[in-house]
Amino acid sequence: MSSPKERYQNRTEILQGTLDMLILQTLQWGPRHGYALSKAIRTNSGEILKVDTGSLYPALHRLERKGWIAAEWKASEVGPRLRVYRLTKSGRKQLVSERSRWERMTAAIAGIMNPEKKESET
Amino acid sequence: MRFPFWRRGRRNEELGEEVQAHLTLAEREAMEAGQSPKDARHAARREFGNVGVAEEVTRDAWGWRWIAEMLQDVRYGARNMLRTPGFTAVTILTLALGIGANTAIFSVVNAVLFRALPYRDAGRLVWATNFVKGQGQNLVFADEYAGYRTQNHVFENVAAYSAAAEYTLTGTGTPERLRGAMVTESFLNVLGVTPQLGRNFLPEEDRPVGAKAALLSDAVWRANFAADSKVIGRVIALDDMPYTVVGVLPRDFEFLDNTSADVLVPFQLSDSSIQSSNGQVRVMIQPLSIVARLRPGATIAGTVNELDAINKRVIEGLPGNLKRLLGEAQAQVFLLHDHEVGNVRPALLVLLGAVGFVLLIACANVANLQLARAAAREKEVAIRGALGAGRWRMARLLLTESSAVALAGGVAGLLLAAWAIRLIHRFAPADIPHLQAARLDLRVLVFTLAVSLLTGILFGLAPVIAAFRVSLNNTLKEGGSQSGTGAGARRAQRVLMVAEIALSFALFIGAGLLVKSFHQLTAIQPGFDPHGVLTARIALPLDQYQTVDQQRSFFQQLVERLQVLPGVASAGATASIPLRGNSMVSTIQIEGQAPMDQATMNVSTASTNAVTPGYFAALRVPLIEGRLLDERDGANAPNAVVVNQAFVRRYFEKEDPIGKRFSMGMGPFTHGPKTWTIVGVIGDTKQEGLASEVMPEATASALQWPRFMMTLVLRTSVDPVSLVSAVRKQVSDLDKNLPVYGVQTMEDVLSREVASQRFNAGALAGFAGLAVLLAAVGIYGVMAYAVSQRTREMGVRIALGAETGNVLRMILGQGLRLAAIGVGLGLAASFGLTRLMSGLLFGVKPSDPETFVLVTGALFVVALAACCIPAWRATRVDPVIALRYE
Repeated sequence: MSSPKERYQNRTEILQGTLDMLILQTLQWGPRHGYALSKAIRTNSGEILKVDTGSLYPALHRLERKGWIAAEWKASEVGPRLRVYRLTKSGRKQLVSERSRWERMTAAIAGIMNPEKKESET
Repeated sequence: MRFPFWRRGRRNEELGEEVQAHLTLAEREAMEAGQSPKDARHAARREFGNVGVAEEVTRDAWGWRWIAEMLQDVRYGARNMLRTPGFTAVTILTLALGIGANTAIFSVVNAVLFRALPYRDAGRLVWATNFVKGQGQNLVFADEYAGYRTQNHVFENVAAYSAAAEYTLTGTGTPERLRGAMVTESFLNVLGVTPQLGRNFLPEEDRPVGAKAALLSDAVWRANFAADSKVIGRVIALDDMPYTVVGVLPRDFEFLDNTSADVLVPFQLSDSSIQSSNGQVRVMIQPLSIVARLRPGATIAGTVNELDAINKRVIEGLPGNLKRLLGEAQAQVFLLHDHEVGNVRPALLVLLGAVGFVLLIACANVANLQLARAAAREKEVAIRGALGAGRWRMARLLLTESSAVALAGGVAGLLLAAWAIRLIHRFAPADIPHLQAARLDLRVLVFTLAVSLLTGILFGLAPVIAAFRVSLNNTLKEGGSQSGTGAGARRAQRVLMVAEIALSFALFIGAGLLVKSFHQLTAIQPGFDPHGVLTARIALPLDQYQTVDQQRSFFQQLVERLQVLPGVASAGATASIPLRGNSMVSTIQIEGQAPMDQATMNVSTASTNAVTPGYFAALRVPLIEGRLLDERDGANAPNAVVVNQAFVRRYFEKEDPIGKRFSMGMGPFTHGPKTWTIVGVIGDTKQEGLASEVMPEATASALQWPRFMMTLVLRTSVDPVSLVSAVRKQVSDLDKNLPVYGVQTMEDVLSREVASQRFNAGALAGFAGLAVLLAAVGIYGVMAYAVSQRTREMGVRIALGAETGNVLRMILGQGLRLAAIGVGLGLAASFGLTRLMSGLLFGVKPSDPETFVLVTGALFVVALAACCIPAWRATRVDPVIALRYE
């Protein structure tokens, strides 16, 4: 008997590192609230990456606890006040290290994927 | 940033708000894209997914999840407890009894055994004595102490002290009897104690005929001197001698040997026991005790060797008769802690073990209750499982619940323990050292907390294991309320019941053995009639009663006056009173028998006593042969003694002792041997204590061998205590400054004699009773539950014609089978365990068959009684109702 929570956790384990990086990267362009953040990630990825809200908010709160982003309540013209997140100094540092880690990883994965492709082409 | 736990509520609201804002924005956008408000709201919801799960997972990110869940579990547990108040009350009461008993006994063990003695670096303190073979007792005298002080290489510092004696304090209102001890100037330094006010004794105050100084205890300082700091330098009168107060001891000061001391005075020991005054050589042997601080690295064995060597050198230099008397002294050295608590350790450990058993039984009982309830909660467990609760989450819920119950039991137990500790302070025998320090201190509280949590886990595990076994499908399918516990839980219940019976059996055996010991001890005839006897002590100040004639005539006059008091049947005075063990031992030489063998040190000895003629009638000591001492045996008559039967057995196996003569020399205040003629034989009285063997004893008349310290003995025809003031009046008529002290009835003396046995037996019997009661409740619970589970089967059996007798036999048989297994295990365990307490037993073997048979029988009766109600209920099952039950 595995609970919905356990299933969710299995999925975030794959996504977690990447989602954190995506959030940090997106916030680099300016403070945003949760909904805007999810929309930005979706739009900027050409509608390919749809952020599950069930992962987005836990990730935001986790990053906030780690001190990489900071939150602030702001009144909005649409009605409810909004929780707006911005990148902190240590968040910026974290983004740099995550980016280089991600680049190493994509290069490594590409190295494995590409030779195969060449073989099949010849 | 991590926010504090207590801001969770606020934070929760904010999370809700954040999620709402998200939904609002999404909804608005969908509406802008042309959807109807209703569709837009649904689309936003769909897009977002499960709001509850998202919020919960986000809350996890805060890192407070385990606390939040624990609080939730505690709340749930509390609700559950309140829903079944009877069940909860029984559980908490059971645990409170177990935990309370453990806390109380642990507080005693903690104070007495585990706590370091209240002295600086107490681990290096030792207590030393010499066992003198010729005397059959421990004795250290001044010459030896002088040797230790100057010749040893093992002690950093060494001190001598006397047993606490009584002093009369005058000049501060009514004369008051204080307990005081003589200590050497090094005493407080050895212990590492500094006076809270003033100073320690100076070396010159500790020399013979030095200035008389006194240190007061905190209690006396407060009670008699109003805690006045100007007390330093004040002159007080102790036994009419002026002493200058030089200091006040710290409030937490505890004297040694489990005695209290209200006042300390310098010992003023001379280096030699032999003193010559007025051309007469006098031997003054003042028995003393040694306490010392070992040098770092010094060992007990090394210390024994060193002291033996010093003893040998010292004794070499003594005159012949003393050398013989004190020869073959064997040094004995103990860690001070062992000396202080060594003799009570076995009893306390047995009690601690016993309360441990009680707690285990309480745990087993509560586990049984929980198992029964687990059956009722099977559906809840199954539903939770189906809704996605993880196993460990369930286990945690159940364990949190049981821990909460256990903690509640612990709190109730603490209240019980606080009360029990008061009882212990009141009823515990006076010979448990440092008991006054037993209280609910931090260490005891930590112990209770740990025990409570452990208990919670211990009894909480049973339902957890049962919950793990719950099969979702079967339980949910079964539907009806008759779902019934699984076979595993039923087996667990039986195992617990058997364990309870075995544990309570072992406790019952232990209690039985102690109770029997107590009865054996109290059945001993002390050799006199203790009922209706008043005793009181008088010590004549030697500076006023210098000659033996003065001492003789004082006691003669006093006894004459006491004899004619209304309510007094007979009155006498004695140097040594039975059971107090303060008689003096002397070497004797019987005429016509071989002189003592110098080579083998095979000396004849007898304890000596001196009494006024009325003593025998006052204590009703029987005359066996010849005559008692009477007025004929006056100061100028031939020396006459009566001897006890033990004396006759030892020295006159085949002869008639009457008319035989012997010399008896070594009293501390006698000069040279005197010859005494035996005029009678009296019955044996227990001099040293009920459990001790009777020594040969020779009793002379106090008219012929006067003493300055005597105990008055009055046989009364009225309540002995009612005569106390009359006795005091007679004494003060003779000498108005003379205090009467140590007033007690002989029955009190006797009851104090058996106090520790009575306490041990009483405490263990109480715990065993508690254990058996808990076990009986446990048996009842298991059997009642088993019967209720089998209601249908009983209905069928009865419908098919089973007789009441058959059903009864079946249920009782089942209960007794389990009881038999428990008793069997208990028997096996008891044979091993009772051997550990053989030191506490008197006149009973650890495997006493009578006790084992009785306890076995008694436990079966209890088991049978506990099964009776469930069995009877089984016979009353109405088949019609039982079969319609489903």
